[in-house]
Amino acid sequence: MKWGLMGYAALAVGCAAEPPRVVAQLALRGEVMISNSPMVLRPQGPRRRNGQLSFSYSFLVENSGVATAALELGEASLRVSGRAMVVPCKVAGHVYTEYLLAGQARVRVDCEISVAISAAPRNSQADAPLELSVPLELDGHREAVLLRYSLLAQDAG
Amino acid sequence: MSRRQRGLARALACIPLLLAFTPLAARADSPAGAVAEVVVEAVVRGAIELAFDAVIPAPSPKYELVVEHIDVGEELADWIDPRTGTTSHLAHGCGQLVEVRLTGKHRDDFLNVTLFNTSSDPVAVTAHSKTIGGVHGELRQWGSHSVLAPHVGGPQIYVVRPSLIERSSGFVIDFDVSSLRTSQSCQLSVRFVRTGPVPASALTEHSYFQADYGVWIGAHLAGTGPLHGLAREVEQFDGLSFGYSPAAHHRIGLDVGLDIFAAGESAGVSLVPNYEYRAFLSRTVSYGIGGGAGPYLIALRDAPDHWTWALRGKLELRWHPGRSSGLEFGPALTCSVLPGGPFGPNRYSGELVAAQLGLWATF
Repeated sequence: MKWGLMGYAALAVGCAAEPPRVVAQLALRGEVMISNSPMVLRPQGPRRRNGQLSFSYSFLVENSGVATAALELGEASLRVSGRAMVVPCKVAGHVYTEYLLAGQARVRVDCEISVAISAAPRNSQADAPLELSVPLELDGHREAVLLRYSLLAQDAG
Repeated sequence: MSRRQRGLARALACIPLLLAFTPLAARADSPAGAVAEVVVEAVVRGAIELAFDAVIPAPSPKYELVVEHIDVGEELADWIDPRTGTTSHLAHGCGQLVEVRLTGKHRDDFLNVTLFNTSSDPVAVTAHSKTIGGVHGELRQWGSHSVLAPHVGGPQIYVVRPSLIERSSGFVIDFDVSSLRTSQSCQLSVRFVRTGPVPASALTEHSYFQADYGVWIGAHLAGTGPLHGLAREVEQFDGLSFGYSPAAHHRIGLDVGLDIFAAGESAGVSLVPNYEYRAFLSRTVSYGIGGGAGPYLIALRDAPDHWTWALRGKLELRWHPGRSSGLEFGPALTCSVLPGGPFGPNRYSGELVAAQLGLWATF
């Protein structure tokens, strides 16, 4: 009986554990690699302010090629509840519309995301996925990297 | 005109062809109708392909993968790239995507590797390192994730040799990737360059000291047994210690102890080889618990000297303010037992409990 109760308690604790907001993503576009490891290693929940949920989404970009890659940060957008909105993205504290990443260079990008609290799910078992799309241009080809983040029910307060 | 605009223009140009051939295609029972049907189908297919080609860019190497991260400890400050605020390096090649971070925990440094095998072959991956000066060294891998199935990712943890980190300005990690299907091998390299001063600043977490020597001063707190009569007059318990750590958690040492009896009238000298297990409470505080046994000489002013044996247990706390200082400080508590019987005169048997304060120089 005691072990049974302890089992249920352990199960309850396990089920109550917060699901991850971010899963680790590695992406390759041509010679450019992207990783969201800063978000994985230092997970952060959104801050609530003036009816908005705000957080910074950080990712690393490394260009192992020779040609310069263009990060079209001015066109970075967030898709939430089927709608897309433009997101300001910074490199070293400065907002750029386009950041040119030379060959053999690496950089960290911080995108400042702010969404309405209503975007958070009401159901505690569900999460609301957000998709951050960052276009980049390589050798005349334009491609986007999709980075994911989940809002949780607790974010709604 | 952009690529997208050109594609759409081509797709629109197909519309007159469709308008011309569609009425013929409607009469598919005639030979002309059959030809027209084929032409319409080809034109429609071509138009769709052109239109989609306009919208969807030409294929290029593109992977987007969800993988598992495991990190041991915190990133080593001296190796953090100011451009990214992390030690993380990304690389690809040999059909692998790799992210490597340099971390430390307690007295060990680690290479945290996240790998993803994008090839269609199962591969075995091993890593070895060389400093930029050219010293090669094997990295010791934790776990058994060296074989990766096709399109599978996972973490690898390597323990890094201290010499690779401590005084080098940079090093290269080479990953040997071998296909288990074709036996072909390939090498992928990741280069780390130190951004902080050489040797490491105190911020660097790594602090694996292989050798130390030190002095301690202290006093006896209590004595029991037949020794008690002598021990209550003991005033000091001082000594020297020498130690060697073959691994982070294990230390082999030699303690030379000096008991001062009765204001220096008599003394006890011990020579105790010992073993100590070290554990770490934080990156700067460790404790050790251990013991040893060795000869003990009791020298009395008005009586012949006596040899006996001492067993000694020790609990010790050490704090080091930073690896650049090379010093450690801390208190210790020792319990010495002189068993008497076959190991020495019974009149000098008993227990002595002492507290000390030590200072060690580390290497």
